[in-house]
Amino acid sequence: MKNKILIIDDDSDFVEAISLILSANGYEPIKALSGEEGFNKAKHESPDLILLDMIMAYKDEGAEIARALSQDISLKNTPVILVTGLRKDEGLDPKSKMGELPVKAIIDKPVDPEVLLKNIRTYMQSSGDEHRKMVDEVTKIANRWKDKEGNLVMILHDIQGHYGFVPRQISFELSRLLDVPLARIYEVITFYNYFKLKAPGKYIISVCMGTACYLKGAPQILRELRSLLGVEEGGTSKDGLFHLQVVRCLGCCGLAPVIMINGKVHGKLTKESVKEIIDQYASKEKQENG
Amino acid sequence: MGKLTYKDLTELRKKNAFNTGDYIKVGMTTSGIAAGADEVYALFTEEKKKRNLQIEVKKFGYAGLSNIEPVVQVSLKGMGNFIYRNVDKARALEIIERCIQKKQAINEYIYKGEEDKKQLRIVLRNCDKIDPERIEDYIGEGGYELLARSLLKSSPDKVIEELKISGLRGRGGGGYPTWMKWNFAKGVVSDQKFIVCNGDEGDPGAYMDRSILEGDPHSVIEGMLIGGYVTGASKGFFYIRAEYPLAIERVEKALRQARSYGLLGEGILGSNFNFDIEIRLGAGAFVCGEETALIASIEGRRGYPSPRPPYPSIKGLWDKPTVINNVETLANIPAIIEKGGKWFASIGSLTSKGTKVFALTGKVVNSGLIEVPMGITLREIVYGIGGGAGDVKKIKAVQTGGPSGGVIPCDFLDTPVDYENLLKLGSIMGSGGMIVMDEGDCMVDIAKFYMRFCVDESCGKCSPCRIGTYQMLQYLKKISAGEATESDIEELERICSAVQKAALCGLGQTAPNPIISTLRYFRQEYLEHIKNKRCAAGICKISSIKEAKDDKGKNK
Repeated sequence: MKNKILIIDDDSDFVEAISLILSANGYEPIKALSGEEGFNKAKHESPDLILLDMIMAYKDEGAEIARALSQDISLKNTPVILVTGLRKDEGLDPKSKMGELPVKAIIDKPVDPEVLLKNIRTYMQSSGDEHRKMVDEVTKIANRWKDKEGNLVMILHDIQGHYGFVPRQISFELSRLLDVPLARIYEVITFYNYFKLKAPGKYIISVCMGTACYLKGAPQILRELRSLLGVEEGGTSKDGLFHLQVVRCLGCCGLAPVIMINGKVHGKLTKESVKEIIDQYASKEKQENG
Repeated sequence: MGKLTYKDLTELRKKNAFNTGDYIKVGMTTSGIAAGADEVYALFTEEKKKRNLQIEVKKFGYAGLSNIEPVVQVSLKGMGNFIYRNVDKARALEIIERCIQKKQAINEYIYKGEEDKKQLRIVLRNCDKIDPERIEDYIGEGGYELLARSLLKSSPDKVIEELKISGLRGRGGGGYPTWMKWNFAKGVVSDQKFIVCNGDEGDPGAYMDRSILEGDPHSVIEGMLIGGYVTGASKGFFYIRAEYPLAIERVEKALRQARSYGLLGEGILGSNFNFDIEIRLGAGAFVCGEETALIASIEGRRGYPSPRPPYPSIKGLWDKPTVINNVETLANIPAIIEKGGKWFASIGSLTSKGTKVFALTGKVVNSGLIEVPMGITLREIVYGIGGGAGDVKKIKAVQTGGPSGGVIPCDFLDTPVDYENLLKLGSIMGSGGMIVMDEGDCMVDIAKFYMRFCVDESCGKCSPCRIGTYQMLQYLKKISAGEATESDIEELERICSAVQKAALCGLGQTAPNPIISTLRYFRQEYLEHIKNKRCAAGICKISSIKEAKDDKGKNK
């Protein structure tokens, strides 16, 4: 999918001209002819980069929009390039203004297409591709379920299946795509134990606390794991390798007590064998990393 | 594969029936795989290629005692069928060399199945036979024939009549007559009705539903289809725990296969009956096993329960009539239609018909999945099938019904198992978890274990459950730490009865059961913690400072 660039400028001829240049260079332009329209479109279209005019309805409108964008939690990472004739006309000092304004670059009007494209490439590269990829993935998942009633839980399952957790940024995207308030998405995420808001470690250790495992020593196994990894339940070890969690029942009661590490079940555990298993994973990791 | 007509189905059945060829079957359910069945399966496929063996390697959904897993069935023409136990890679190689290549049975590894004699397999009838990933196997065993008969040769009223005669009751725990649920939904006029299969099996220590879904998903699908036909529903949902990836995978596969044969979709088997099924996943909330919470969850909301009535049969999913049946209940349906309600009613006790699948676990020699006729005594289950606790410690009690159930002390082991008897003893049938406890288990600690579960799983919507379970847990902690007084027990009992009466849904109403039943039979143990600051089982950590003080006091 093409990277989206939002152009916010009250000069419709300018907007059209820039749009042509962007389209010709493989971008998808989004047009906005006022600051307010621009901000709303930024919220709804989730662009990868924004070109912003300085003087619109009033002199500092561009600066105000830039600040508003930087304070919006879902937009603060979107790169903004200020496109203005101001500097030339009024001798604006680029250095001091750059420090004050939350923009990546300032480009002079009239715009030299080469300079514009070079700047776009520079600032898009860092976040744009990743951002675009994320938006595309979420869109794909949401579209799969869009026509089904009661789809939110299933969409969250797919997202967690893809990312390992539900990143905050994705929830914003989802809210936009499904037209569902963010609060409702979080309401569902936080109700269900299964959904994670933070990235878990590389190896997820699930300690079974089913009744059979409990009776056969699961609490001791859990205590051992806590001290081995130096984390509490729900936590991830400092090296980011192990995530420790307690689950209800893995249904391998014949092997009690059991733990599962990334889908593999280890049964009939003792304090000693747990240590061996963790050591194995840790040393495997060491080998792989040199 | 095109849409099947009844004639095609019959032919397909004949083609796949009496599967007498040479084959190796490896028991591949979650518990089998945990025991190493996947490695064994891989080894057989590899060796088959390497040695150019003329034998088919298949999977099956072993649903039995788990201490003999991985289980491998070998069938050889002229030699018969052998079941090998605890097959690791070394044994698998031996099986290939001795049993398959030299045609000698390896007696020392053969599972004799003494424990199976007291069992009766209706729900799990296909698990040992078919490959759950092949619909043709299921059809070969007579699958979808009963759907066809219902659609083409029977009527919804006749099916309901048959269920009524059979006396089948809901296997999710409540024991509500299945025919009544279906009849209610059938009687409501609506443009859309739903059938939901409740596979949100959250009880710790219970995995019957998972094993059925992994071992024989088509039976459940066929049960849902028949339910759809009877009640006039055109859409079904599987609600399965997300923690059951293999069950989900197999059900997905089964649905795809059924759809490709036209057994799901429009004009099923040439009739004018339309029905399709989708899967919805649970997300780790125990309360979603409760009907109204489950509905909220399928609708994509928080799984909060709501007051009943209206019952889901009248007003359920998106306010349409919805029948919610448990996995095991649905798996019973095709069997009842095949052999008749009378046959089913001839099995079991006076009030509870048919069989029940239990997950027998805890302090028994043989643990795993069992299916027994209702009315069998607990003793036959625990000793006859489970083999007792072994030589180390004596059995103290049996827990049924998970966090909503209670303990049954060993004095009552001769009670026949059915809905009413278990209720009389202060426990419930529940979904089928059966946990054996011995003298090394402390009843206060068990009550605390279940109460902690309820505190975690209380959804928080109603205060009697949200606050009540928390308070009960505080009292139990106090007792187990040796810091309680006798009046605390009275307080605890008062909260128990308040929560039972005032909680909104089944989770809260039954949450006090583990406390009430342990107090009923093991009050002495509670008092021992309170008066003598002593935990006989040595599980509870009675505050050591106090013990020291007491000792000093005694010495002086």
